Amino acid sequence: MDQTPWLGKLATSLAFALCALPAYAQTAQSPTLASIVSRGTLNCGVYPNFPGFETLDRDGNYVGFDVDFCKAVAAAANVQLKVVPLTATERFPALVSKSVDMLAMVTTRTASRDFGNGLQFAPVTFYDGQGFVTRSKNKIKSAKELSGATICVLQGTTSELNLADWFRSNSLKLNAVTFASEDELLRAYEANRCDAFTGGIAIIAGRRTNFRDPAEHIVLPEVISKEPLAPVTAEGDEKWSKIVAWTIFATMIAEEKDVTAANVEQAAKDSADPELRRLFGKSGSIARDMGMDPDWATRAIKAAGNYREIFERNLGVKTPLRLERGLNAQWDKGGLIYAPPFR
Amino acid sequence: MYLRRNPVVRASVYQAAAILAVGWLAYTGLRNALDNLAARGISTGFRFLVNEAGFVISETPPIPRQLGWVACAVGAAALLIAAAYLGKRFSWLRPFAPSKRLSLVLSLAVIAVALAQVEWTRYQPTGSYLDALLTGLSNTITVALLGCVCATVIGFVMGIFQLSTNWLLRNSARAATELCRDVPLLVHVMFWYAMILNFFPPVREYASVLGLVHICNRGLYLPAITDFKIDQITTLLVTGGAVVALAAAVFGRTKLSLILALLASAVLISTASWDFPELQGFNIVGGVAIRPEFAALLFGLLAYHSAFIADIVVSGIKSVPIGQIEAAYSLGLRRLPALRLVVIPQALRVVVPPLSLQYLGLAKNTSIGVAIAFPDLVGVSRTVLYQTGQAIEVMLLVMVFYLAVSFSIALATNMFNQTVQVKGW
Repeated sequence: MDQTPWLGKLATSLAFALCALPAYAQTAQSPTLASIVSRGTLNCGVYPNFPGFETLDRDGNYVGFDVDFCKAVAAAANVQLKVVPLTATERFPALVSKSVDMLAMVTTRTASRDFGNGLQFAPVTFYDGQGFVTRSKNKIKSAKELSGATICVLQGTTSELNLADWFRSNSLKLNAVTFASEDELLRAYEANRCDAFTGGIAIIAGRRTNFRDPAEHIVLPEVISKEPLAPVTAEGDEKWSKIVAWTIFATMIAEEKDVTAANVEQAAKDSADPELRRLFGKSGSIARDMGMDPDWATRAIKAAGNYREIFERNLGVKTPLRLERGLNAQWDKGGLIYAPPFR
Repeated sequence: MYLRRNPVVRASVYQAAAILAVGWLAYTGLRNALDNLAARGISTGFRFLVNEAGFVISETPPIPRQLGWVACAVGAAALLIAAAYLGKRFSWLRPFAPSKRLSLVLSLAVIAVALAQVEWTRYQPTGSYLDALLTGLSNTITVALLGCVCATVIGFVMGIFQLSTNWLLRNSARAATELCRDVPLLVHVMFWYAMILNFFPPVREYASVLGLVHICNRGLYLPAITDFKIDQITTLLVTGGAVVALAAAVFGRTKLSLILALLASAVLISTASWDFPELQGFNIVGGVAIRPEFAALLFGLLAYHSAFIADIVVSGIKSVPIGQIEAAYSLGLRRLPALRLVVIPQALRVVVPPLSLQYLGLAKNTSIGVAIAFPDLVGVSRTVLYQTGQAIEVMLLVMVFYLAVSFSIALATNMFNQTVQVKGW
């Protein structure tokens, strides 16, 4: 590039010229989307094993709540999905260096991550919080009854601080045992070294499924901290970030309108609902402005289902995690799941 | 030309160059680290130490509240001892330097006075990061001291058993030593932890001895003395009397002192206010608890290090010429007096130097406690590091603390070593 500065200048001026074009012209395509389409696969980063959110099924395919959002985005872009297992330390560098196009790996959105790591968070897909798992034979209904109990907690987590704060602000007596490794923590809890253990509810509910008899352990209703989990894209390609965001919103809108994976094709063809007609590309030009073809939302919902289906399939009461919708119910059912209008 | 050939000049030039190079390396390393931290917007310095820690530590032994005085006392003690050592080395310092014995006595006295004078407190989540680190240090020192004492006793007994004439005793001691020595320390510690958690009953089904001592997999709960109904001076006098009488009973072996010691203890016990442990809600409360993490770490360290100490003791005893033992027997000494008066004093000359290495190893190996949730110095420092992000400062502090612990052990064992070596050599 350095040898031909005029090429760069030309490209810049072309870009400006394109931006200045009137709105009815096809707007510039997202470079990330362009490279995904030309390669034919979406690279989506997930954790290697996180029950409910991303695990391997019997056939060696990744399944889970996060994986379903990867699937929806891949289907919207009409490409194959390639799941890339990453560790917590690898994930942000992998995203920023474009080894993966997006992450869907139970990442908590925080201000420092927003500004410090070059990340762009998609809408929150799961409102998590810190909670407690205890034995059902302790016969307690609320975490406030845990006064004097021994709680196991993982070292170096925000949970460790939240735990002390919460017990102090509720004037409860706390005995905490701080473990450096999660395996040791779970083993100690199983051996009854502690009465309860604490952590992100999604995480601890998943870990509970690994116990000898998961039914003997319950998740207490109290949520003592905010942990909004969201997929992430890299900063610098707003269009791509918006495509990911609106694919997630599409699953939420589909839930509102009772459109499921089974009936989405029918709905796309016949529905008279104006918002669905816009979503499924039957009216308006939103898909073209996004740089997608009109059927993108139909494919996304057909591949992954609507938000309720994704939730119930992976985390809901019929799964080993047995999570209630709680904060993750739709906004009109007392939850926080709220998609902006598709118009 | 002449200067270049002068060995003194050459040596100084080379040494100066080496010192400069090392100094430059250290300086650039530090400079780089500081620059990088500044570039990443990470603040440096030790100011964070006074901030509220906010996390819970499961084991909180007393820590001194007025740190300044303790630091001054430790500094003064270190200066005294350094002066004694330097006085031996540099003739011009000799008139000012105290003798080693004097400096030791003085420094111990200074530290004892400081520790007696300061107020003691226990860590709370509202305490500072420094308090948290000191709690970790205190836990480390507790395990290290207890470990060294117990490992020495067990090691000596096992070592002497290994040389016993009784076939069963000799071979079982050998087998036990071999087994313990050949398993890594981490495995020892995790084994004992798993044993304690799974062997002892859960807290609701705790076992009890006479209704006073409770045991379950959350700990061994003993009744604790909270106060004495007699005034403080009398308590101190009676306690002191009991200790002296007990010491006299052990070393002088007179029946009278044993009776006196028992009497004094009886007085103390009868006038004490007790705090008995009992099950309340989720846990056994009251009394003092020995927690499974502490016990597992101690057992692991003991199993591992006493095996090595047993081997050291065996080598020490075997180093005593057989003629010495035969001579002792021919003087009419029985087996035990011969061991105590002839063999062990000579064996100690061989035993003490490697023994001090075991002590150092044991003190540092307490950091294995991280694996089983024991809040030792390393365990607590990891939390502090995660919560503050001040990696370099926290690690530096931890290193300084370990250095102080190791240096104290080395000093004590060196001094002891000088008393057992052959005089005048």
